[in-house]
Amino acid sequence: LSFSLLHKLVAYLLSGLGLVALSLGTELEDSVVVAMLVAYAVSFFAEGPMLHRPRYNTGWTIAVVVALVLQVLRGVMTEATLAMAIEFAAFLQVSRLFNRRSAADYQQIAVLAFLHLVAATVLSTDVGYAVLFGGFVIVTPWMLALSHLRREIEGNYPAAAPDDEHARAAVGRVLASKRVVGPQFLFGTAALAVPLFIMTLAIFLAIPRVGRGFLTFDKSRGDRVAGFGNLVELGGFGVIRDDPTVVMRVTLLPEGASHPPQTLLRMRGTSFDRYDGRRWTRSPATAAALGRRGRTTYPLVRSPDRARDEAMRIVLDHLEEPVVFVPAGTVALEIPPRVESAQRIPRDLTHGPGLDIRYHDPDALGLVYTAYVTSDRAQRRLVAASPEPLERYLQVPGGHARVATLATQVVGDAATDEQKAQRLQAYLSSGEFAYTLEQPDVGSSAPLNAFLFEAKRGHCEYFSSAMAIMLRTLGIPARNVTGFVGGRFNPYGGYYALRQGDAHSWVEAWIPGVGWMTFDPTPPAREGVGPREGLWADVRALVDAMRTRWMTSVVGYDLRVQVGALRKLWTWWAAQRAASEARERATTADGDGDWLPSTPAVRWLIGFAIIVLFGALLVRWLRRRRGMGEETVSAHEREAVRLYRDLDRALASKGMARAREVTPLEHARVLGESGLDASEDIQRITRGYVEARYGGRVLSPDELAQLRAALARVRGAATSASRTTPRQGSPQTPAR
Amino acid sequence: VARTGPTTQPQSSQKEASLKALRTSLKQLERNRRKPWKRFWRMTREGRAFFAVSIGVGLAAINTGNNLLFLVFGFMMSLIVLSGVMSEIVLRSLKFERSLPERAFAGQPCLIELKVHNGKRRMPSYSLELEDLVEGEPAERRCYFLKVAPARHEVSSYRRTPARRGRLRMRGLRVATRYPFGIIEKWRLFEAPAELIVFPALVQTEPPPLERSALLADAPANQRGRGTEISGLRAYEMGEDARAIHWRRSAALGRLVMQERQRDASNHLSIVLDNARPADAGASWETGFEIAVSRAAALAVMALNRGGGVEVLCRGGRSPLVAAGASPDPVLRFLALLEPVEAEQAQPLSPPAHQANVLDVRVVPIGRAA
Repeated sequence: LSFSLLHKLVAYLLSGLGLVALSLGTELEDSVVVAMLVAYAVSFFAEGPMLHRPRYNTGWTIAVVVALVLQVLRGVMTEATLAMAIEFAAFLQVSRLFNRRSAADYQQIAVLAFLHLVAATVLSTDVGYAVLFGGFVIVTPWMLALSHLRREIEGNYPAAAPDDEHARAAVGRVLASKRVVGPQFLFGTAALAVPLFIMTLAIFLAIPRVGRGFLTFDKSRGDRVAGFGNLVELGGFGVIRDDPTVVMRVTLLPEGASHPPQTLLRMRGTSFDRYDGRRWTRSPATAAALGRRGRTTYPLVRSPDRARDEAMRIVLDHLEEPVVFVPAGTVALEIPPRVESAQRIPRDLTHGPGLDIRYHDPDALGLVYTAYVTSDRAQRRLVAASPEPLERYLQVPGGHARVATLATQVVGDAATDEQKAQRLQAYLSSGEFAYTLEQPDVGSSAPLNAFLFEAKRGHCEYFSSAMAIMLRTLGIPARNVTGFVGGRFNPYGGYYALRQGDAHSWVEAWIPGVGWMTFDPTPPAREGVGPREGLWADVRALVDAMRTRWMTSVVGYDLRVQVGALRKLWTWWAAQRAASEARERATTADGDGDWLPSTPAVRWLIGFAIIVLFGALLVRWLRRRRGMGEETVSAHEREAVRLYRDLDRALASKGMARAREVTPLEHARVLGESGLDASEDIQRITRGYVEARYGGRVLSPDELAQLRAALARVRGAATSASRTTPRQGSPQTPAR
Repeated sequence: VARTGPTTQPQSSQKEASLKALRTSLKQLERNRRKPWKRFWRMTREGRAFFAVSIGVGLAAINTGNNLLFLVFGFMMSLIVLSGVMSEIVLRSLKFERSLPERAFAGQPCLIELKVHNGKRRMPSYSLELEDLVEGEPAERRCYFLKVAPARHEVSSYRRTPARRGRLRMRGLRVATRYPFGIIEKWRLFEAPAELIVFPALVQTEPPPLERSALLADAPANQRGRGTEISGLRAYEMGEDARAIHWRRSAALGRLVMQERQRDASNHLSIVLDNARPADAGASWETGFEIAVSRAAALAVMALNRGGGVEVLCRGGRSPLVAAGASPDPVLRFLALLEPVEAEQAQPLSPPAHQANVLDVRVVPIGRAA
C-alpha cells in the first residue's frame, strides 16, 4: 500500500471507532446513526482536486457554522443538550473526513476520534466500550505515527507559494511511495498495543480513586424488565420467556466447587397486594430505610452466620427498577459501600411493604452484593416478614365468585391454611392446566375466569394470580410475587446467569404461626420453554462473562478494591516476614542455618531482584563501553594498547597531549618534526601499537621488552618546553 | 527518503533563537563529552497540547470517579511513555559520516553531505533530523531522513553559507527525532569534529593596473634551464640525467647526445597586503581589512586566469608562489587564514620574489575615503 492510502485507511478505521463510540448508549436516534454512517462511507470517495476548490472549502465551513447554530437552537428548545452535542461532534468528524487535504486535517481527525472516545465514557459503560477501547489501543499508534510522518514529509517539502506545484508534486511522490511504510511497520506498530495495554492497565490500577465531585452526568436508563414497577398487567410478563439477555449473575460461595450446568435459583424481587381483576398494583406506602449493622451488613431476619449460612455473590445489572433481588431463605445482605471522595459511603436501601427492597443507584452501575441464605432447607420457603397489616392481602375484586367456589372445592377438607395452599398449588400445577407463552384470548371476561374455566392454559402470571386470588377467597392472606427463577451455569465466569427470560411470578401466603411461605403453582413444563441453547448460547455466555468481568473489575473498580488489594499485599508480606523471622529464630536456636529464607515466593523474589540488578548493571556496562568507543581487543593486542596508553599519559604529563581528532601516527610525526629528543622512541612505540592493534601483528617478547625500554626513555627524557599538537581536521570525519 | 529541511531563510529573531539553540547544543556537547549515551528531550507543541488534554482527562476522571476516564487517562499517559521509548530505539545504533566540499567561499553556499547508517538489524529508524553543529554559525537547514532501513544507509546534503573566511569548525552532530507520535522530541549529540577552510569571498574588482607584458603567459627566456622549449644538442657527459638523452639523434650519430632546454620565464604578480592593524584602528578597519583580503583573493584568481603567477605578501609571511595555470587554492588558503597583527609588533613586509609587478592592496577602513 502506498503511504497515503494506508494513512487514509487507518484514519477511517480510527474515525469509525470514534463514531461507533458516539453511537453507544441511547442518545443518538437511529436515523441520525444511519445518516452518519452513510456520510462516513461517502466521504471515503471524496478525493482529488475537488478538495482544494475554494467553493468546496467555503461550503463546508458554512455548513459547520450552520450545524452549530442549529444544534444550539435545538438543544435549547428540546433540552436534549447531550444528544445535540453528540450529533454535532459526529458532524464535525464527517466534515473533516470530507476535507482530508493535509497532515493537519488528519491530525484533526485523530483528535476528534479521541474526543469521541472520551465522550463515550459518559454514554455507556457496557462491554462494547471495552471492545472499542481495545480497537483504539491498536489503531491509535498507527494513526499517530502515520500522521506524524505525513506532517514531517509535508514540512520538509515546503511550498514556496500556496499553489506551488513543484512542492505539491514532491510531497505527492513521497506519499505515493510504497517503500516508506510496509507490513513490517504495520505489524511493528500494532505490536506496540501490547506494552501500551499493559502500561494503561498499570496506570489504571495504580491511580488512587480518591475524588468525586461535581459535574457528573446523568446516567442512561437501565434495561427495562417488566414486573418490578408499581404495576403488572396480566399477560404482559410471561412473553419475555425467550429473551436471553442476562440481568443477574449468582456465584455460589466459596468459589471453585463443582456446579451442575443448570439449577433453579429463586431470586425474589417484589410483590403486589392489589388486584383489580386485570392488573396487580402495590398500595401506596412509604418505604423505610433498611436497618444496617456496620457499613455493609443489612439483616433481614438476623445477622449473618458466616460459618453456617450459605453465601451467594450477586452481580445485578442496572435495571430500570432498582430492586434488590434476594434468594429464598435470605437472612441478611452484605453490600459494600460506595466510595466517594475517598469516603466510604454505605448504600441506602429502603424496605417497603411486601418486602420490597430497593437501592439508590446514582452510578447506574447496578449492584454487587452478597446474600446470606439459611442452611436450614425447611426455612428456605419462609420469607422475612415485616410488620404490616394483613388485610390488604385479602382484597378480592368483584366478579370472582366462581373462583371462590372452585377454591373451596379444591381445598376440600384441608385443615390448615398451609394444607389448603398446598392443595391449590397441586391443583394448578397438575396436568389440568397447560403452560404456554401464548396469550389466552379472554375477550371481555375476567382473565382469571377465562384462565380457570375456559382456556385452562397460560403463563406464570395466570397461575400465580389464580392461586393468590383463590387463597384470598378462602381468607388466607396472599400476594403475587415477581422475580427470577432459573440459573444456567456460565463456565467462563463461574456463575449462574439469570436471564430476562427467567423472569417469573409466584405466590406468598401468610401461614399463621409460620409466616410468609412461598408457593409456586406454575407447572414444571415452564422449564422446557426458554431461550435456545447451542453454539450461540456458548458465545453469549462468553460475552456475558467478559461483560461481567468488565463491569466488576474495570467499571466498578474503586478505592475500596484498591485498598483491599493493598491490604492483601501487606498481609501477604507480613506473613512472609513473620515466617522468615520464625525460621530465623528456629535456626538460631538450632545453631545451624540457612541464611536464605526457604519460602519459595521469597526465594523467587530475591532471585528475580538479583537477575534484574545484574541485568541493569550489564546493560549499563555495555552502554558505557559502546559509548566510549571501545572495542574488544585480543590478548596479544592488549599489551600494545597498554603500552600506548602509558605513552599517551607520559606525553600528556609533559604537555604534549594528543588531541582527540589526531591519530597516533599523526601525533608521532608531528612530535618528530618538532625535534623532540625522544621522538624516535615515540615513533617506535606508536608503530608497534598500530601494527599490533590494527595490522594483526603479534609482538614478540623481545619486541615488547624493547618497546618498554623505549617508553622508559620517553618518560625520562627531559623536555625543554611543553608543547601541544596542533589540531588537524579531516574533510571526512566519521562519527559514532 | 532523505531531504533537507525548510529552505526559508531565518529572520533576525529566528536567527537569534537559532544561535541560542546552537550555543545550548554546543554546551551540552561539551558537558557530555564522556557521556555519549546521554539523551536530551523536550515536549513538542503538539506534545504539550496532548499532555494538557491528558491532565484534563485525568482531572475529569478524578472529579467524576468515572473509571472509563481513568482508562483513557492511563492510555494517554502510556502513549507519552511509549513515545519516549520508541524515540530511544530510533536513535540507537546510528553512525554518521560527513563529507565536506573541496572548496568553500565566504558568502557562497556550499553543499555538505551527511550519511546515516542504521546499524540495527531489524528496526528501521524513522524521521531523523540531523543538524551540523558549527561554532558560531547556526544551521540554516537540517537534513531530514524519513526512513533509514535496517543495516542500510541514507545520504542527504544541506547547503551552508559560511559567513566569514577562515576555519569553519564543525564540532558535532545533533540527531533528533519526534517519531513515533510527534509528542516528544528526543536528541543525541555526537562528537564529529572537522574543519573546513573557508576561502575569502571573491569580490568584483578592477583588473590589476599592470603593464600588458606583465600579464602575458609564460614565455622562453633565451637562457638554458628546465623549460619546455629545446635550445640545442650537445655531447652527453657521465652522470648527467639519462632522461635528457636524445635517443634518435644518438642513434644517428653513433654517440650519446643530449638535448638542452631553455628556461621558462614567468610573469609573477606579487600582491602586497599590509595586515598590520594601526594602534588607533577601530571596528571599521577590520571590515576594511576583510574587504582587502577579498580583493586580494579576487586579484589573485584574476591574475592566474590571465596566465600570470601569483603570490601574496604580508607582514612576516608570504603565500606559496602559485605558477601560472595552477590552482589558486594555496593562495586562497593563505588568505583564508591570514590574521591581522598589531602594528607595534608587526614584522616588516616580506619582499616580493620578483621585483616587477608588485601590486599593493590597501586596507581602507569603511567610512573613510580611499
